[in-house]
Amino acid sequence: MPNGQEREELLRKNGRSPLTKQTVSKAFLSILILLFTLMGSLAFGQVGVDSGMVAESNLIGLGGLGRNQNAFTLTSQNALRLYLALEGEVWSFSARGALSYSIDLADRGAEGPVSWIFSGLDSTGTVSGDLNSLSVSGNVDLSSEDGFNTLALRFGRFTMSDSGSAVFRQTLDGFSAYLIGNRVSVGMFAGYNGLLAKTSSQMVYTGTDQEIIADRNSFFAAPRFVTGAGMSIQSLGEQPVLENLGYSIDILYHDDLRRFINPQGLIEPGSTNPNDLAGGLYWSIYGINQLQYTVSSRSFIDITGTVQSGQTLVQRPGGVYELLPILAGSGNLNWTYFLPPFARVGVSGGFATGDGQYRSSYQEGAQFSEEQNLSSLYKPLTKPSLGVVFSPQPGNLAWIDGQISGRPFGSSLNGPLSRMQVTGRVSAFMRLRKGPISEAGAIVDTANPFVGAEVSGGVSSRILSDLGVGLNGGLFIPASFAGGVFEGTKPAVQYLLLGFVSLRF
Amino acid sequence: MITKFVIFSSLLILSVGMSLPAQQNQLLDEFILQEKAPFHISLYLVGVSSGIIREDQNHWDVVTNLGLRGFGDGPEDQIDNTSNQAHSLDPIPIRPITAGELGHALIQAFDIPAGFMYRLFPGNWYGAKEMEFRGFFPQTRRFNQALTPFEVVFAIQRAVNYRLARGFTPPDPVIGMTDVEFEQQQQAIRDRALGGLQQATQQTDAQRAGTGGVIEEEREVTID
Repeated sequence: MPNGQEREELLRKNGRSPLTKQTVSKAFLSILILLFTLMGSLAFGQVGVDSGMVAESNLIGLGGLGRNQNAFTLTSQNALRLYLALEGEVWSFSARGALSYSIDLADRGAEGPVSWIFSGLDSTGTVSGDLNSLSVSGNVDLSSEDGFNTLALRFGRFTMSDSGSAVFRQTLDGFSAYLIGNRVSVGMFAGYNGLLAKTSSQMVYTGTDQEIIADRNSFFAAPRFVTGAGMSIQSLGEQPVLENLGYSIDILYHDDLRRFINPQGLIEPGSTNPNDLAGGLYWSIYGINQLQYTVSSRSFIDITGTVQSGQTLVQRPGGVYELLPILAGSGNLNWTYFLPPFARVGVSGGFATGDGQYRSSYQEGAQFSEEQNLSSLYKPLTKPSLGVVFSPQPGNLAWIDGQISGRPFGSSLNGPLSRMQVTGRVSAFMRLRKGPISEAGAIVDTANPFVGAEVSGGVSSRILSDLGVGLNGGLFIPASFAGGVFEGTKPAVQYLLLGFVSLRF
Repeated sequence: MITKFVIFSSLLILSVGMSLPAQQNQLLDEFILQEKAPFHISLYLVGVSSGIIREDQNHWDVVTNLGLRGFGDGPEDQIDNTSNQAHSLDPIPIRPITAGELGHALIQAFDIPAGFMYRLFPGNWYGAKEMEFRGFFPQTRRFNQALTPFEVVFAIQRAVNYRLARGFTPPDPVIGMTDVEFEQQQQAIRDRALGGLQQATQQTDAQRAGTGGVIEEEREVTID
């Protein structure tokens, strides 16, 4: 166990950026030169300009009822977002930043809303800020009628993802390049996670990553790197079925750059007495295949299959840590139907493999039996949105849900009601095999695979061009009955209510 | 591509032309062949299709009737206001119309409800944002970006449709209308369009002193 000084030193090393100051300075200088070039064009009226602010306020109530698990938390999340866009004929520049303030109001319930408003920046609140986007992008016309007709380039900080956002979708610092044609598009992206504020990154996989989150002195996210390449084909042929069949393939690779810059902060394979702050060297690679079939002009089916490999740290029963190969997978089927004029219904289902050998925890570095030499627990790089109240990682789960959304007064009324958007969703979750899921409180060895069911819905509207309001809610019924996955660890019902208002300046 | 553009533009213009005097067809035909939409023709089309002006008036009457600010220092800055042919393509216009100018003009001319920020600061900046929110442009256009004739006609058509869905009467009766009848119709339209501007105009006039006074004086003469 390290002493306080060693601990601080280790945390500092873990949070250190691998990029030198010169590299960062050069990148910012390049962006500034492009920015001034665009500003120069602005003087000649060739560049469109937009800027402004968005003030957002969310009030989130989360609670549980029954089985002696009654609880309630009320959180106020407020954000001020600033943006600037300069849009030229070929090149564009965009920047977005946000300053957020979050406070837990549950312990102020008796004092009332006035006290909440004037509670101010006291010690219970959390302030965070980050530059969400700072990028230069360009669409270069290749003027090729048969092949690729556009080269889309982007540099800086922006959101990157695989073709269908099945495995990864997050802001990174890097670049992307895509060749876009009438039938086929190919491209790649590469980005670095370690210059983001840690509150803006979802890339938390190991014990070392979690310590960065817990450390108040650390600002930057884990030094991880993601790259991906992909190809999309709009139509596979001219025959009746192939004509309506599209296909995309992506390969994603992700690694922990501490492998090169700070390997002493990681647990060595074979070690039995690791530093409690450290984690293993987790890296992963994904192959993603997606088929898109257009049944009719209103009906669409997507089928996605993903295979994951890589290495993850496990602890054998004897206490020896070991890097174990990963072989895991996930599948998803989604059907969408558009109901004229303004509604959409959808049914989707999916699964992600789990691993019964993880005995104590879903996390990397957990205890593992000696019987198996592969980890089959699937983990995407960023978490998909599987629910509102219950929003687990997909590993060791199967799920099915039905969704409906639309504008019920879109054609019959005018004004804000015509813009009112209503959504509804029903979901059910099952565990694939005995073993942990990502949610705390799940009992590893229960036989009943049912995890829970959720009903959620929401209504929102842009009342005016600069004013938006909305209300969302959800009920999750966990398997907290006798013999259930959450027996004794969750209430009979969990609920969430979210109200929000946004004003654009 | 150009052929498709011309065909689609022509279809749009046909629908906008329903609300315009028939003799303006030649002007429209010439208008859509321009690379960028001329400022004065665009404003003229807004004025005629909304009933703010008669066909023998010109774009500057739209500016003065609606009290639009930020459209130049006066008629002489744009084009010869004394000519009866001021809405034709000759002489060559000084500049194209921007997204903000067209948005601001459409909101005022067609009395389109706008957000808080536009009501507080009516002008080109928030005018363009209102257009984007309502989908009046076929693609995103910022306040300072010059528009093509197709984009101008597209936006006018959307504005006409918006008002038609709310009981707007197309200004066809302008043809053959007596001066008294025309002024009565104009007065009703202006009262509605200018109502929300009064307070903001007074505040702006106080700040702008000299130049604003000229416009205000012209507008009062026109209204009364």
